[in-house]
Amino acid sequence: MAEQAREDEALLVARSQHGDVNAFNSLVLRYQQTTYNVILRMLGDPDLAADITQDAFLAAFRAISSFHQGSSFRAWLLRIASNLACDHWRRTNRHRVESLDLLTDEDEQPPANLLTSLAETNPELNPEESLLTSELQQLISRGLQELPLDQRIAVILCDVQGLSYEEIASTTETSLGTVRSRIARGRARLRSYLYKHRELLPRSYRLLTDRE
Amino acid sequence: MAQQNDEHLTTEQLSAFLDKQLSPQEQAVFDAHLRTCPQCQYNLADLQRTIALLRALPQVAVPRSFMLPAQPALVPAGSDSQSRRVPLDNSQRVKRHIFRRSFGALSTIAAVLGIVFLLAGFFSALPHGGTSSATSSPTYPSNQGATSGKTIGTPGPLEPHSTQPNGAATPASHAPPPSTGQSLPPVLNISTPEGKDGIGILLLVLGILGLIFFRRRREDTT
Repeated sequence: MAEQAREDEALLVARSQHGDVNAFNSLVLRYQQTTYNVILRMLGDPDLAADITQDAFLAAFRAISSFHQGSSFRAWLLRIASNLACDHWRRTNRHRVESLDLLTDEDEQPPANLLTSLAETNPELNPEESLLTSELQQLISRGLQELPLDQRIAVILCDVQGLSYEEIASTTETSLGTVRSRIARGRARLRSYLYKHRELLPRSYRLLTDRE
Repeated sequence: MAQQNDEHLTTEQLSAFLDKQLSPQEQAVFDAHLRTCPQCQYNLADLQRTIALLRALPQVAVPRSFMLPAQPALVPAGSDSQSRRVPLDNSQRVKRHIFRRSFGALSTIAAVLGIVFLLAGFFSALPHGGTSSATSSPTYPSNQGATSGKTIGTPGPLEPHSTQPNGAATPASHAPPPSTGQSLPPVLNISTPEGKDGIGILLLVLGILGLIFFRRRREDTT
């Protein structure tokens, strides 16, 4: 983040800590898309995600005095947001059995030759603007919701939102080692899920072509 | 399919490798291995594809604005259940912040003063064999404090407040033993000069309670 933007943000946070709602709303504008997307990818339901996003900003404003200047505001905000989303998930999925699709955290991989035969090169697919079809997006979303919560958050923050390991560690209040482990396991699980439902993948998208 | 042995890279290692989370040494070692191991190359590519799919997920536009209404009813700090705070504006918010800081400081001062008074009472009572009801033991049970607190209420010769044990010891020798235990709880808060031990215990208890309360508030807002 640029130095100037960081300073601006510190000022906005300071004013928010003195009760300036307008200053806080500037922060809301800055981070609402990221916050909404994280919660949406965690829970899958747009209306629900909107409600929880609003709750998250309300909670953040109420707790703003506990934010320590100098640390990442985004990480702090996303911590509140992801905690609320996790709380909701646990409340509404108490009876949900962990997927028995034989997905494990271990290194379960599809057989090499089978995947090779599935993979197709698609010259028309421009990797620069590889737009996923909505079906594929939904498949990936469903796959994300199959992940255990801790892996889900880690993968969403890292691969969907592009946060650094350090910021993810701050958001989830864990160590870098834990972040690394959760991201790896989440990715592996998602890979297994996509492979398992590969018949749903559009032919041209079955394993995007690797470009070196 | 080749058995995974120690030499092959685990998913976690590959994942960290892709994210450049390894030490330079590890990075170099893994890089060297990848050049010669088709299995790991394949695994790596597979993992990259999964990550690429995730990265290709679009950012969804917000369905509406999540800005907060600019009303004074919003409370920027403090929990909702434990504290019923009045609506705040800027100046009140700052005042409350200062108040909270002072509260903690005052609690500490109260506790320290409490200990000082107790010591003063303790030392002054020593030559007299502890005639006062709350002197001999340095422990401060709260009921003892209440008992001696009641004795403070009895009107007696005014003694100058002193935080120095030595200075207080001399006038304390004239302190009459508490005779009538008039219970005047509301008067306890008014600092009467006699009964240093009572005041001491009271201040200490208040100070400790204040600090506990203060700390709990801070935790609540976290």
